[in-house]
Amino acid sequence: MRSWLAHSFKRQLFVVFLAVMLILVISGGFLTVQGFRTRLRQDYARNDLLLDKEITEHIMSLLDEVQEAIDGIAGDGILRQAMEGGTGNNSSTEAAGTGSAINTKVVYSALYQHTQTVRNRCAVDLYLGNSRLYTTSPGAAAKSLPLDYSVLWEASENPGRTIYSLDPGEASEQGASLLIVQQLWNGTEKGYVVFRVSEENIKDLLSSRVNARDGFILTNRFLRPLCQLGAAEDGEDLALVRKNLMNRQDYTAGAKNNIYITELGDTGLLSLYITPPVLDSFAVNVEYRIIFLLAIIGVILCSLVASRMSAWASKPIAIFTQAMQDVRNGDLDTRITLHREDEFGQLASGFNDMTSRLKEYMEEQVLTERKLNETRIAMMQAQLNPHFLYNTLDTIKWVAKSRQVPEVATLSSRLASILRSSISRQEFVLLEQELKLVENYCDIQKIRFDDSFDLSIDVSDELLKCVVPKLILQPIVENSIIHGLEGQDNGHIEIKAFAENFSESEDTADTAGESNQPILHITVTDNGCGISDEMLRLLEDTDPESLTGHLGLANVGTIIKLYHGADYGIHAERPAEGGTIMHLILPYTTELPDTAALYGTANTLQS
Amino acid sequence: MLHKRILKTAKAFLLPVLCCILLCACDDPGRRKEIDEFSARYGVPSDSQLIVYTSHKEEVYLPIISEFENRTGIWVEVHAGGTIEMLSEIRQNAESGDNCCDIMFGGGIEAYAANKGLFVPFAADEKEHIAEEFCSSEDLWTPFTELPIVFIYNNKLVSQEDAPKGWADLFDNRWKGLISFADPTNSGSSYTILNTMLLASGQTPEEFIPRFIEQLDIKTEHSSGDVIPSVSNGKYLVGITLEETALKYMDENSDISMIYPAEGTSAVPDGCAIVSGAPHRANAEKFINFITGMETQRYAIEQFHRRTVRNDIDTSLLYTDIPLIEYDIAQAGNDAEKILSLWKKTVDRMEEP
Repeated sequence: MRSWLAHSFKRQLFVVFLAVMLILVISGGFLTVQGFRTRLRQDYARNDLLLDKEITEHIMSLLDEVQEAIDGIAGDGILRQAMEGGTGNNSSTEAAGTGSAINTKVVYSALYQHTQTVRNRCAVDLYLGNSRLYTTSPGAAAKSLPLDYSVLWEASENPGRTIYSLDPGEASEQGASLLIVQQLWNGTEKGYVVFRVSEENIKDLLSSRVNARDGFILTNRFLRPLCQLGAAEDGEDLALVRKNLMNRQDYTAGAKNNIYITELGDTGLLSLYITPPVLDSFAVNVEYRIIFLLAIIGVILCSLVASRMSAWASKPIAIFTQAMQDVRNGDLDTRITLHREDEFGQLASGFNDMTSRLKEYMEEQVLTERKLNETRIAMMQAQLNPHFLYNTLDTIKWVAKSRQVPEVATLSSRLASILRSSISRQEFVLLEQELKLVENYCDIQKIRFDDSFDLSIDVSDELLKCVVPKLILQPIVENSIIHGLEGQDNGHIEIKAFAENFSESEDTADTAGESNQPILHITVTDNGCGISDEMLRLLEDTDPESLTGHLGLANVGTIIKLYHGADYGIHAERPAEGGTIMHLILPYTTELPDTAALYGTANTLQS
Repeated sequence: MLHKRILKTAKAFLLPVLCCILLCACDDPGRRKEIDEFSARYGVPSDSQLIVYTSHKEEVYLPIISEFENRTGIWVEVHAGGTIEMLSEIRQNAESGDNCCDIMFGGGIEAYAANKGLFVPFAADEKEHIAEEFCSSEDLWTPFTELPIVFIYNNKLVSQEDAPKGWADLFDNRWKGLISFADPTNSGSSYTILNTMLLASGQTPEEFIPRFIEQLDIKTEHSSGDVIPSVSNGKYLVGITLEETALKYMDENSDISMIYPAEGTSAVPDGCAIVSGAPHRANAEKFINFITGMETQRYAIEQFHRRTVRNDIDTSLLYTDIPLIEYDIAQAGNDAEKILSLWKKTVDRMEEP
């Protein structure tokens, strides 16, 4: 994956686009859906709460009316007399006993009067003990309620307080009648008024108010249902709320529907209003499907745009890559033509600039190289047929020895030695060897000039192991003998060498920085007539061309500069006491230099 | 490098997005507060909870449990089902170490005797008033009500004279295939009936069971609740069921009559016991004291036509004493598995063509 990405600009672009697009689409879509749902949910919740409030108020008004009726009944003298005083008459012979007919009618008319407002919503019974004496319900069957259990027990425990309870006789998981009971009378037996609000009554009261998809549940405080309406009929929501409360969680935890619970005053009853989720899963699915679709469209668009973009951006890069390849293959004429003014355009012109400069530099390098070669060829030509000369000299030496002419033998042996050095293909020699060559040369010249000069060499042993270009001292000594000591009988030539920036521990020269480069100074001093002004000027001239007339000296300077750079070379001075000091400046090194490195960048580029 | 950068960008992007989503997802704070307040006020602390497994019918357990809730303020979680189903659930819970049941309520006490390992002993506060013959010697269970076994017959199809008077009469040829009887492998009360008949017959199970199944013509009802309706609708002529079930039905319908078997019958009580490892032990004890208390026992007599297990209630006006046969509950409990497997085998054998 990583390398798949790393090797293609197009893919990188695609992935970045895709990431940005997906983040935007998904988070944006999600936010939109969430925001929309939240808003909708809040609006609906507000409506639900209003509806819930309305329904609660409706039930409360019924309960209030019942309470009013209870208060009316409690204050009614006739009913009190019937339930407390007339106990004997009524209970012994069910309602239609002899002589109590009028009494019954009076009682009923009082009862009906007090319960006018609520009678169509509930049945009203008057209980003496556990048996029902009077009832407004049309059913004929005598109903009894347990005295020591359930609602009558609770009412008798709390006389004067209204008890709201479910009818144990019809209790089911679906619901039960709501009994509203108060113990009002204390005759020989306790008398109770019982308002029975059946499930049907509650349904009649509310069904027109509860929305078609909503549900309503009326429960006691232990969430035992009295009535379950509409969507709540399956009992699932009630069971869930009960479970949540027993687990001490939010009562809405895990609920699919919205559940609103209201306490109905101090009756201990609870009303639960249930509304379905604002957006069902289908709607939410559709929303997410749209987001998904957008994401797919986004992916397609992204790949299109990415390929376009990458073509636009990567085409110049491809051109650059090709051009670089060309340059690497040595074609320095490579030029990039881009008709753009942006960074790519600037990069292209920068590239072109770079290649043209590189080419100039290369040409310069080649030129330098050619010059070095020409010089070398010139030297080779100067050493024309050295083998023949060497062999001849050898012959001369042996002939001279056999004829006892020692000068000739010395001459020819020294010359042969010089010649051998010249013939060798080595370009660098130890300073020791170079000095030996100078000595040989001087031996010859001494014979020629009749011992009119002497040579002294003062070089410390460690400097003898320095490596220097071949044949750089001989031309200088030759110049001194031929031009400086001409016509002098006691000429003196002294060769000295010393090192600068030299430390024993630092053994190498080529890796150290410019300023710390150890330098080898070699001076050739003579006590001759002194170097001419013209020569001095020529030597100080950096242009090697002007020295061509004086081949030897010119070669020395040129070779040193070509090998080691412009910082090194040859200087001459004419001290006040006379004579000439030729001063060679060379890098101090004891290792044979890598000849290839000396030719500089041109060579490396071509490799 | 690229990955890191993308990750960084993604983080920078996602954080505010997530914050927005969280903000949006929040409900109206007013509503939130209301939910929190209600949940806090009505949330039921663990010491006010009780979990009851019951095999009673809804009309029996609901009034009792609702009254228990009202009087004690303890919230009761009810799991209802058949006796065998409930007991096996309790066993599974016990095996998985899941203590999620306090009380087993309902089911004949032989079932309790057969599952002694599931319960812990507890003696009801008013144990001295409870008829001793029904109590567990180790107080592992407490009886709730006495349930005599009776015959019923469809009085529109069978005359009083013809109706079977005793256990032996049931084997009369005229009732062959016409006796409504619930499958004892499914119904606890049906097993009690089978065992009672076995004791009354004086035969060994191997003799009696094939004979009885033969007489049933291998037909059984699925549950004990189906026995009376199937007699009422004429599918069968006679049925064997519990007194309370018959009386309750007869309260509202007149086509069924009831007979106490002449040889005597059994009146095995249904029980109630605290399940071992009960998480709400104290409340479970309260519950047992409540159902054996005077009020609940009276209520059971009046409302459910059940016979009380208390000996300090004068029942002479409420129901007549009936002849009872000797019924060894412990033996009934122990033999249950053997007898039921014999039953199953016999049925399977006879059903083969």
